[in-house]
Amino acid sequence: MSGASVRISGVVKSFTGESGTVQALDKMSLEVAAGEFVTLVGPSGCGKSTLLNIVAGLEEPTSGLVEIDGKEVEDPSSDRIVVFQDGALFPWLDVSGNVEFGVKEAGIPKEKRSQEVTKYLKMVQLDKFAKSRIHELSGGMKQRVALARALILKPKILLMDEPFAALDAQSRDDLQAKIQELWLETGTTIMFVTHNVREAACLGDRVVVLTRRPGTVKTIFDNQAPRPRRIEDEDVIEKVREINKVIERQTDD
Amino acid sequence: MIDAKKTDSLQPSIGVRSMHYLIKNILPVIVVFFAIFIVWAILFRLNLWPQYLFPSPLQVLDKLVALWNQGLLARGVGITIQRLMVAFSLSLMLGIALAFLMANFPTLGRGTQPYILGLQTLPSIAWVPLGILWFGYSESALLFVTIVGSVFSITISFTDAIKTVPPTYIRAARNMGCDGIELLYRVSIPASLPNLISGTKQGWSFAWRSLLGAEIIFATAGLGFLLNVGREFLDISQVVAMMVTVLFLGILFERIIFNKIQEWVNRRWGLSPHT
Repeated sequence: MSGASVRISGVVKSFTGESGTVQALDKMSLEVAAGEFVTLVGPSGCGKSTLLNIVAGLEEPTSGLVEIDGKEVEDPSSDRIVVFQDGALFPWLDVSGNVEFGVKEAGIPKEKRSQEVTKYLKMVQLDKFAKSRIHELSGGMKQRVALARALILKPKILLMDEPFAALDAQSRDDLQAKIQELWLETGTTIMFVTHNVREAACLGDRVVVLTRRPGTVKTIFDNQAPRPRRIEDEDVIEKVREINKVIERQTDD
Repeated sequence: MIDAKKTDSLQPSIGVRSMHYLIKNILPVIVVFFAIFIVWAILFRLNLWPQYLFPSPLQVLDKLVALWNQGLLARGVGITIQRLMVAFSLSLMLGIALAFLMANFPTLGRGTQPYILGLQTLPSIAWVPLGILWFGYSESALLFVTIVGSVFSITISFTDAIKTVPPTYIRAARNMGCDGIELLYRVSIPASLPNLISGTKQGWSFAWRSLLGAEIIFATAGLGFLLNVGREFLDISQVVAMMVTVLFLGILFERIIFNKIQEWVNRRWGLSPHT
């Protein structure tokens, strides 16, 4: 499995609700190389989730376009999988039923399917919990199920929407290590949204800082420190300082 | 989760726990049952009302036994339950079809919703004259009243159930390539199953009330008919005996069968992990 490139060109998105029109994204442009791990950081409500949904094809931009390997996004596809903050796991299925959901949809025969499910559950160290119900799992375990459910589809792009925001510190550390490991293993492109600057600096090859709503790219930081990185590494802390300086200047504007 | 399992094993064993459950929950119900029985017997003894208006609990019990021995009770119950099954199945199918239309065509849904809500508030007894004029004193008229008495409740609760599916479930599923009719039966229906079951239960109780009402007014067989026969022959024991039977069946279906199904689904869905 390998990644695909993403080109976001002049994407505008506004929502019309009962209280008038809200503009979530304003002429957002960004290029992500195939196999790159990019983190997007910005204040709440800056349109980060909206951007991921547009790349996923779950929402349409008001104007502008998104291309994957040069092809315009029109519909959702299992090439681009979103991992949601709450995991969005299905409580009526057990753990393996959840992981199986997408491959079943793809019409892969039963035997092959269950082999795949076992393989991906092992990858996230949950093979012993295949028959557990979702509500029996901790937050960290739920996100690992969500990762297995996404990776089993061999997506070219993984779109992660604040996936670790609701976790305790311990699980977050574990999963930050895990996602780097899985990324190195699979070579998939990752766009990872967070409001946590330290997480962004820890995970990204590049850290994209977004402006307040309507969201657009403010500054991009290169981040080539060696992997695997941990949030307490000197390199990471240094990068956080650098990013925070820019964000503080931004709030003074 | 591992911790939860540990604490579980510290709980008393199943036998002790169910014993405890019986004493705490079932015993009071039994005590109150006998209390009602005794108060009723005392009231009868006080001779406050003429006997043809106020039977003793033993007279009612005798009547139930007599009706059972004559085969009338079993036949009455059989006929009523059969009608209910047929009418409720039809009502359920019709309700699902209407809910499906309303959920899939939002404009149609918005247009028809106030009328469906309005029709639901109409007491089912109010349909009886229309049913009799259209279908005569027939089985069809009974089915008609039972269906219109329950179908709108089912339509409304099913439409609401489908609408309250969390949007991230739908997004996640569409993202994995699930769409159209597959999305409905792989996600929308299972996601809303707890609400669909409570909607079914509510529809059932509407159907039950509608059918009994209609049977009392114009049926020539069934529990409502037997109840009304008691009135015509001034047999107060039969009237009360039938009321008790109807009450018992109502409790059996709504409180026991439907509630058990609901608890089971809620537990599996993780809605009430502590019960």
